[in-house]
Amino acid sequence: MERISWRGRGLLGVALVQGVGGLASSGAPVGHPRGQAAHRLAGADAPTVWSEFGALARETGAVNLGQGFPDWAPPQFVLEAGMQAMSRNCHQYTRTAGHPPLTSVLARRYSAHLERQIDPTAEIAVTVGASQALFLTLQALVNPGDEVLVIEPTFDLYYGQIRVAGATAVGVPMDLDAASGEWHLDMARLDAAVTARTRVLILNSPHNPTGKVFSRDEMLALADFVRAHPRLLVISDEVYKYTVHGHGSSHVHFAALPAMYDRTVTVSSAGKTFSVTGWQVGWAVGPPALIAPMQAYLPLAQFCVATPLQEALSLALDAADRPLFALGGEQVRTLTGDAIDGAARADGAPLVDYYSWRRAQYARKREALADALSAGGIRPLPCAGGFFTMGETSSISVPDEYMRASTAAAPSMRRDWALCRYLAIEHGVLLIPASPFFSREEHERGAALVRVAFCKTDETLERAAERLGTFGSAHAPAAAAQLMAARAAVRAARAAAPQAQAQGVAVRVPMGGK
Amino acid sequence: MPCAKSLARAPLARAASNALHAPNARLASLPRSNVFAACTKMAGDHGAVNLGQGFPSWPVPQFVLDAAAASIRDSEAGFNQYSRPGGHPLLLDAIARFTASRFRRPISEENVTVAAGAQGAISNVFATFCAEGDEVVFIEPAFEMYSRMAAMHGCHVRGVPLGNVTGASVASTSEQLTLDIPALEAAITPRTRLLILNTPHNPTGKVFSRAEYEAVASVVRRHPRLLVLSDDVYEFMVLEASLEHVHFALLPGMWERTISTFSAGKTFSCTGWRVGYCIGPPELIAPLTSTQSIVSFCAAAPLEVAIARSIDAAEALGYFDSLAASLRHKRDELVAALGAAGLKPIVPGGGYFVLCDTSGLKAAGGPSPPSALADDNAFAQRRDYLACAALTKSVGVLGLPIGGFYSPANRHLSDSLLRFAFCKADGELHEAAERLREAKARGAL
Repeated sequence: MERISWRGRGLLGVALVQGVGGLASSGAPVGHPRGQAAHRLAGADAPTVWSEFGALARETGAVNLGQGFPDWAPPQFVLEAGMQAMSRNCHQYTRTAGHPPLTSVLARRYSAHLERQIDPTAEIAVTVGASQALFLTLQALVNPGDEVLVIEPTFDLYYGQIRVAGATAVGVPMDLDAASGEWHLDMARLDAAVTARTRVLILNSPHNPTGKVFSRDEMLALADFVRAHPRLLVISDEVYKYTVHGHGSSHVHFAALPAMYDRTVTVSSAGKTFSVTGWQVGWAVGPPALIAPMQAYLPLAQFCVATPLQEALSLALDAADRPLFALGGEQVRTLTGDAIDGAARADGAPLVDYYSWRRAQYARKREALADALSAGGIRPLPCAGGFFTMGETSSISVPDEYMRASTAAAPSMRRDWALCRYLAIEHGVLLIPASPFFSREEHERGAALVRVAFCKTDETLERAAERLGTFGSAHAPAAAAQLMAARAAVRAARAAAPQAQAQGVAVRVPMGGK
Repeated sequence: MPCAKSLARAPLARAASNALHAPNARLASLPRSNVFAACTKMAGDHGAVNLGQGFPSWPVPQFVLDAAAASIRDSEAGFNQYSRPGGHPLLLDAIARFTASRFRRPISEENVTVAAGAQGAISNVFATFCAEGDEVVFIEPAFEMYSRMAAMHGCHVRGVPLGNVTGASVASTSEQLTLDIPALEAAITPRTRLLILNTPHNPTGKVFSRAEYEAVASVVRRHPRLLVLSDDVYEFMVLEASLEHVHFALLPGMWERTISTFSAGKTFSCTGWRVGYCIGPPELIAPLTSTQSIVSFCAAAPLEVAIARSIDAAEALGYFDSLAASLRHKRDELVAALGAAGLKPIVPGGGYFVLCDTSGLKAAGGPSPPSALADDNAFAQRRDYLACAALTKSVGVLGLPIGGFYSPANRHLSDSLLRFAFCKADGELHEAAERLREAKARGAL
């Protein structure tokens, strides 16, 4: 099930959409206006990196580290919440702006996060996933002709949604420090990108695809920038906020910074946090002036979000704060606090809340993936949050036939794209090229980079490690050896440090449903 | 009627004084007030039986609930992860087979796209096919979301009123409501992009006949740019044996022009699940899927799978027959009570609702002020709303005022009308009937 997403082309000209099967089959002439979709959607069904690599995953049977959602079952307490909700009387339309049991839980939690009293009625809108929260926020805030600043590399859904809102995406690329592997945003470059038409800045932390967690100082600098531009609003995409696992990193709520609440719409969702991406429940939180137009749109968009799933999340969000999990082990208590028979728990492992348990799991998987990439001759870049690691691939040589190939989504082949096709087709591992995460003019910045997901079961990561190891020893042995030595040093340093035990990083227990 | 463009211009002047928070011009023009919410509050405040909103108050059928519980619990199957734009494969397959047997024509997954409720599907139709300045035509009174969505997309609306909704030759059954074909023809211009049809019809319950739809089709054939949206969400609620549900898309030459919309929420009494779908030719369906991929990506996967299983199970369980029979029974009870109370119900041939005439009500006031007719936000000044309030307070039963279901030019036709829903548990309907009887007996009506 590939995620269909697409690149904006920045053009607002009229174009015809050639649907599947072609207009000719209807008996109407090709280009007949009956099939003409509104111009702003032109290109929406064009082939993309997602459709191409999704198809490759299916055709090759490669270990799929491309898709950005977990391949394990949701945690048991979330399924319990779902079952409980199904048994309640909550199957009809609910309040369009959000089911009151859920909005009251969200208001309470965000009041703590943002250190102010959040009004559940006026300052929250519940949407079909964070995707729709982003879409509606743009629809509500942006007028045709406006510009939206996007920090690159970036989640490419933003481009499509910006275009559908009739606005232009302006990409501001971050710089990659070769030595540290860290990404840095040049504030002068951001400032230079502002024009009289700039209306919105989209922030995403933890960041997809880089795994960067913007520090408090970086966020304060961004707040200064926003303050300097009185017409600028901010969308803070925080879907990975509970996936901060880098040592010393913590999530900063941009809307909690001085004077930023009135400028910011905060977006998040349940899907990534609770491994229920299919439930499609997201939300936007912000001042009434920004949330009210979204609330006005919601009845027209789909009337309301699925009531029983909102009900389930109203139970799950708070349950996630309770000590139901053995650190490094499994869920050992039910939603209602009863002990679960036979649940795996290492002796002496403390009981922790889901968020802490989950952070430790992701930290461990991040490390496992870093080892696997190193064995493949790919340098893993530092990753502090989210579940993607970027890899640096300059030590790998890509065969000419792949460099010369042309596909529907990549008519003019790029190195990173070619490399990923090569690895998927001939070496059984599917990674995602980084260039599609940049706007066209900057795509060269992705030439030696790939994005790799580690929201995968240990079995999947082990299979990937085997295949990458085989590839590395055959095709990039020197690089692999050097990278693996570096990894060994990191592991040794960590094992010696007391923090490792507290994080549960070193402990390995299979994750997911039985 | 103030067109969408001029409504859009006005807020920009206000925006200059608060530039930071000025929302998108078109959203700023959307009506902020909501007659549904106001009525729900009114019903609550007075302890009235709320027959205003169109959702069922009986439990979701057990086989449907069981299917949802199973798809959440069966975590290995992955139904809790992303579905895909256009619909989960299991649901597309179930819908395709089911529709093929009802339509008696081949239907494959290329002909199906799933959205977040029929409302989401209709929203996608507007977003995909309608551009600013396009015209949209529908038969009035019409579900008010059509005109709101049209305004949202900068489209102009033209309503073609059904005849005999009110007045000297007022209908006693929905079959007697008339469709004015010349008026429909006159409403269509070279700029008309979308014709919206709805059968069984909300709010009148009219089940359009084959002959009526053939007359509409002959109009449509004369306008090559016209697309038809056929809102068929009440398909399984035809309540008279003598009436049949006609799929406009199946009339000669109409398949290529028509997007038909259906609602799992209405069909299976789970309106909160937000699973709806469109059926049509690939060149109309594929762009809808593309829109979905941007707007909200996909519907809720475990509920899609549950609906797939429910569709497969329903026919063998005799579900559709029992749904129609149960609704017919409820319709008859409410119609009898409304008639006895002097509210002159137009007996609906299908759907969830019955329209009533309140001109005989004691508490009814004079006609609506003209300014209130033109202003979507001024519903509380209109005669139909005042009649609703009077009935709610004196009888303890609430029916929905439907001024918003008419375009402003024809809104005066709704002055004496209220819409009552009978998609309610028997207990509520008995209570409503009893209150009507009692109010009549003490001379309150």
